[in-house]
Amino acid sequence: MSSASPVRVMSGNEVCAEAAMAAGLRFFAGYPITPSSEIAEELAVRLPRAGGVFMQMEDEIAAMGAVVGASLAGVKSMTATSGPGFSLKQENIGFACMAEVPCVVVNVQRGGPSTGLPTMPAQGDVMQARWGTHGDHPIIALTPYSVAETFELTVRAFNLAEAFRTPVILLMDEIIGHVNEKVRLPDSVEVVERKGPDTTPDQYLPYRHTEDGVPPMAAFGRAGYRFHVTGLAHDETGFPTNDPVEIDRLNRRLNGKLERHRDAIVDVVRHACDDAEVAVFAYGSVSRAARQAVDEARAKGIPVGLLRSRTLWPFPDVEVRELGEKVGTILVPEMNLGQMAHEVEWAVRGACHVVPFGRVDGLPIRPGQILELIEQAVSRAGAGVRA
Amino acid sequence: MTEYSKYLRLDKFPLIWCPGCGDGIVLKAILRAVDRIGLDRNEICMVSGIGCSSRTPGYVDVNTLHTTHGRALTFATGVKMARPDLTVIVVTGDGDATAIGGNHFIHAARRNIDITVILYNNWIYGMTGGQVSPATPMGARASTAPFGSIEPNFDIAALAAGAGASFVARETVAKPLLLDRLIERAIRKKGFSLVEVMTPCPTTYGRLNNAGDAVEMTLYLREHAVSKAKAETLSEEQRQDAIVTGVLVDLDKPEYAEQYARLAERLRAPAAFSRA
Amino acid sequence: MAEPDLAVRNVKAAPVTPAKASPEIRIKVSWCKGCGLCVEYCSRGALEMKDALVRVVDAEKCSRCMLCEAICPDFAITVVDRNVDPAGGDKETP
Repeated sequence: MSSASPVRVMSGNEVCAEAAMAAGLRFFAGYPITPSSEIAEELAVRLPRAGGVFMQMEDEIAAMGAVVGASLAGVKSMTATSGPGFSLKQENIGFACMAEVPCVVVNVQRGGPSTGLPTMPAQGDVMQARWGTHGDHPIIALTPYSVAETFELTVRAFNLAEAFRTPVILLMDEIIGHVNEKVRLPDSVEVVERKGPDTTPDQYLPYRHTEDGVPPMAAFGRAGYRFHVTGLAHDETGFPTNDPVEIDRLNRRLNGKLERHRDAIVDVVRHACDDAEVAVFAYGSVSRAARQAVDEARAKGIPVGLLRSRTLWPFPDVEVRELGEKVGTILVPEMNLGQMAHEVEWAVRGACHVVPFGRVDGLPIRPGQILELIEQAVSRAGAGVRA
Repeated sequence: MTEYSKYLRLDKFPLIWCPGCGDGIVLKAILRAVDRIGLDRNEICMVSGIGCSSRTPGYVDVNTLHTTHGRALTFATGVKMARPDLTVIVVTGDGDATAIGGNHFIHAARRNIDITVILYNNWIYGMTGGQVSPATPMGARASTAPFGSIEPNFDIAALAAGAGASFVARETVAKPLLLDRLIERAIRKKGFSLVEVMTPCPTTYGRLNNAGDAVEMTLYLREHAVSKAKAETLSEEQRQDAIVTGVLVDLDKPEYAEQYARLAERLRAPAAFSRA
Repeated sequence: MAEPDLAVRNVKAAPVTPAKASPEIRIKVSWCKGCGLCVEYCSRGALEMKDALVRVVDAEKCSRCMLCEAICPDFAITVVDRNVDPAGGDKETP
């Protein structure tokens, strides 16, 4: 996107904070955790200046609770953390899913499990982003591959949260969070606001089963619209229910809410896929190495392409399946032991081979490693590349 | 007397609480206090956690938020900081606030954020069937302390005071008209205000400890409630079972939301220090 | 025991004078859970428990202290003081 602003050298964390402000963030609650703390530190300076609120809460759980409270009171809210904090936040993330509260949760991934590798990257929380909180629930997770893309996807995270009344997880990793790159920030961004009530207060149903699956949302303190929010299974009025018909309706609307709009949410970038016979599926910082490997392979005449996803959830199953029907092998390099490879395998349903490659030593996957995988895939196929 | 109906979601009645549960008495006292102050329903946000206490907001026609166990104060903090003009009241229980919610309890008190906490202390986890709580008296039985609790219990008011709350009071449901006066003072007070309310749970605590029915348990509270001044004249032994009631702490301290607003204003002034 | 002084025999103990209307004690039976707290708190014996529900024994005994209303956890009892509100008001229980 063109912009008149100057080129700056910034880290992913700094840019995330910047983008959040541009998207309308006015309440941040967080807790220090490497490698995300810079986001909080930047917002500690920016928010009070902008008439917003920054709070360092007593723990990660408190931060998530405060974010949900502020959003219910009508303010765009965000928190940022890493693996251990992401684990702690799960119950309240689930509350946000159930109560349909827009908010952004940034997870700058580091080595796990447990305390793991505080200062080294990993992609080990990608499946947790989908299923970390209990019960059937939908979620959106975005994952940028560069500092510049972090800006774009942070804004997108806020917009999707508002459009779909849902928490959105922004999955960065320590590389993206800490690396410094040249960026030219956009002059302006397109911002989406949550749909306000379209009825008078006496007609207002905070959890109405609307046509598009997303109920209009009032805010606490908006005169007349006094509504009840609970994590208990509830009906359209927001009050708890034991009625199996209402419970089923809620669960299906909630879980279908994102699925029915998946085409608007799923966001992939294809590189050299048109005539590819082998492909790489990658996301986040690994896709930088993947793209370089693909370009080097192409220079050697190997028909390989890259499908890079900017959304992990909902998973780009249609896009992956389409690719699987064209190529003989999809390689899935990840800084984990195959969490998304499983999704790729499932999506292609046997249409092609799926070869996972996991690196879990705290170091980034090198382009050379991916190039080697590409070459192995090609040689395994023998005379004709398609297996 | 107060016209309660204007504050109530009458279509949700009758109340879910057991016969003789004191929680309804607390609810009414809250409403009398709110009515006397003359608060607008639209400007109140009532936040609860999980437990019998926490079913209260569902019955009240204000902005209501029923959150996760122990976390009411965290959500309430977000609401208050997003809309400092709202009157935020947290309704919680002894387990919700001092077990799982303990960390949030002491920090909200430390910050002295302008939230009024009405803590229903029935000395047990009633909703889930009578498990031991940090407020269960030592020696008393609970479903998870079948031989009598071997843990000392919290003095919840002292905990809040120690953490920095600017207003701390305790009362029992046995004296409902004193209770609503304390709640009124707590709401009017700018800062973290706690009213710890001793309320009987005849269904679990009562049965497990042969403490009698609702009337007997309520009379027990009435008989054992003493003022702070009176408590000082009691012997060590008498003080064991005394429930010290009344205003225990009432201090003037900086309130968090106000402090934050002053910081923000200072930063927006032209002479403010700016980071490059 | 000495014969009481006839001059004071007919003075009623309660402060309510016969000219005033006795209060109306309204009980919402469907909300009453029979806990008995109101009966305990009534110092005048105006209420009693019958078949696990409260009922009014004698409204004239009521001194309008309103403690029954304050102590009832279920909003099931309310006292309408017709001296204050002669029409009985629209003061529904609660």
